Amino acid sequence: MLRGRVPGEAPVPARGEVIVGDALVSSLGQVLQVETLALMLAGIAIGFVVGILPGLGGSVTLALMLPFTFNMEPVQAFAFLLGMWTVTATTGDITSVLFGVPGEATAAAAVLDGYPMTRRGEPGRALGAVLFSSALGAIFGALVLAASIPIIRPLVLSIGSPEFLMLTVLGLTFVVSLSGRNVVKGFIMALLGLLVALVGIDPQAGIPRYTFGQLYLWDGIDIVPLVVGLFGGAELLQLMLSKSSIASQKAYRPGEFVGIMDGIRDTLRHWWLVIRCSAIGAGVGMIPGMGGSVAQFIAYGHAQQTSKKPELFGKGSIEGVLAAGANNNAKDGGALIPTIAFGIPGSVGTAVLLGAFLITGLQPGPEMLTTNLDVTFSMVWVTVLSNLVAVGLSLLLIRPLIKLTFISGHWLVPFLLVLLTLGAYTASNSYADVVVMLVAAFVGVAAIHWEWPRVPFLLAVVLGGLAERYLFLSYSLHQWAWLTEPAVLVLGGFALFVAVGSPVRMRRRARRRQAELAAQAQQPTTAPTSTKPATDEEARA
Amino acid sequence: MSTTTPARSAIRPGDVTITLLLLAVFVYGWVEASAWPYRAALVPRIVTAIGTGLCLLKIGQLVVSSVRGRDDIDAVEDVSQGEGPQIIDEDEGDEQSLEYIFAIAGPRAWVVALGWIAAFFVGLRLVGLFWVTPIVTVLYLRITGKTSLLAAVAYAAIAEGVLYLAFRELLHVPYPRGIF
Repeated sequence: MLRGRVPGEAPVPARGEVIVGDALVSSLGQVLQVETLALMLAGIAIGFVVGILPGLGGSVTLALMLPFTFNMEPVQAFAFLLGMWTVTATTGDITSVLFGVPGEATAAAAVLDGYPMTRRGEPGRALGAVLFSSALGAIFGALVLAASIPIIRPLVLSIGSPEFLMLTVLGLTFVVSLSGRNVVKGFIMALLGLLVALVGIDPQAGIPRYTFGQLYLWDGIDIVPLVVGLFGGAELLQLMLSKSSIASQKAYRPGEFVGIMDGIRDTLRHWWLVIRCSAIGAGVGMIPGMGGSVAQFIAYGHAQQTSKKPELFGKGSIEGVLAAGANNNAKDGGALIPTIAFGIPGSVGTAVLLGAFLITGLQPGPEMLTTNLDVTFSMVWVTVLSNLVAVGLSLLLIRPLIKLTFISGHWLVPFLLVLLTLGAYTASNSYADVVVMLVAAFVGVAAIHWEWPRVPFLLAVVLGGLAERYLFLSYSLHQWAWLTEPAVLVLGGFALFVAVGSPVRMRRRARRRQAELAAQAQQPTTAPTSTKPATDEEARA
Repeated sequence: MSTTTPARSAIRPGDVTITLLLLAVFVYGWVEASAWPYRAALVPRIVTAIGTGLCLLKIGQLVVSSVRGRDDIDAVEDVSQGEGPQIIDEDEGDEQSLEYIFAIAGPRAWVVALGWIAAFFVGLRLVGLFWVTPIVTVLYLRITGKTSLLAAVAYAAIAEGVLYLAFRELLHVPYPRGIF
């Protein structure tokens, strides 16, 4: 829109255009500064190793790296963290393809067709396809993130405290409903997390809550030692108990890496599939609580349904590999959207990243789309650049990096012990944080052992403080009238549907399954049938 | 490595214990919040009330499952495990192998692992990070890892060097010091 234009003078762009354009350029300049680039490359290097090593999750490492961002500028901090996090998804596919062992939980779909391709002598083609499609998926996710910012800004600015409160509640219900079979346990863990979030000085009345007379608890329980203990503690204990190398399978022989260019050509040939699966990843990633494990199988299923040769899926179909690779990285860009715009994490990793927001003094929400828009765009650039670098490095360094997967667990234990300690201690330079970390580790191990989901607990701790604040803000501004706001009713209804619908659907499936089992039991059979696959190979076949 | 987990009984002592423990936590939270002003107590009371209700519901489920055997709850679990791609959060994908390792590890393995962790953190409190790291590293690699003394000492030296350079000189990250 032109305003006050003088003949011969350049048109004055609208205010919004100047801000977005300037932020896009200035953010690139900030990312390309030497110090920021160095930190991004350091993060990429860490993420590279973490993604390769099965058992060390990207989200766990993100939590461990979080304390080191205390002295960093926001752009630098996110260059370091995002550079590490976005790369783990890419390199996690490498072990999926070569060993049939997902380097990340979100790389499981890549095993279904990537590993069979390796077994039949096409590891290079599979790796080329999965790596290149991952890079394209990452770029797509970053573009979705960048493109959604101008669209999402007016939406975010029109959202008030009541809507933020309901989004928080909705985020929690999504996570809880995705506690798999343990829905009630998921709800209980989420409520426990909310209780933990309430520890500290009450912001309304200024009185200490659940502090047990300890000054340390007046500030509340820090998220960092909680996350470090909850996830890192269990990983450490697993290594100590298993006493074996992280990966013990040797399905490849050195030298069998020809065909990488064939895989890249396959990616370009199936460009439309790559875009569709990237869109699924970005779209599902945007939904708080859905996570990459959901997105990868939706994309995989879609690829199979639309393939001309669906019978090849699970036996080494290149389309299956492409679907898994493209989706895996696109979801990270999508998951960043609700995190940045609403402060609602789209996944476990973004829940940890929220901690980075707090550490760097940033507030997710409208500020990230206005005054801190350059930081937001820097995340887009980092996502794109780090994946391009990671793919390039992967192609160059595949052979020596694979050897890391055979390191015996006992070599990693001392390193992890130190990392856990420093990660917890640096939260507030207090031994009390180390104690919190140990308690959280105990909780994490018990939760795994007895199948109580940890993710609802973590997200509730992150979202609990926000929820309370928005609740009282909503009441202060609107009394109880905010309950009748249309957006609140819609979001509340949706949250109720998600929270109630999931167990109802599972119960229906259980009854249907029982009926099928009963019918099978009544039919005479000549061969034993199993209702449950005994091994992962049977499940994938 | 097999990913099957040991068979479960209809009621698991761990579930009962954890549920009762959490019930106690929520009840305590409710009682504690009773003494606070309205605004300070509102959210805690909502959370603890719902938590108490859900814990009681869980206890009811456990009792029902012990009476009926593997009908309701485990049938739902079987469905979740047996049908195609599983909708699981990204955390649970790792937990299947973790759960298996935790389930099959014997008491001795647990005692040894927890003992090393306890030794590290007690040593940390006593002598600080820069002393406990090389000591525990060498001892752990020698005793548990059965590595050579040279390899253990070299690893400890490198770890100490990286710690000092990275955290003290480059990042200026405060590190835990000991009492002595």
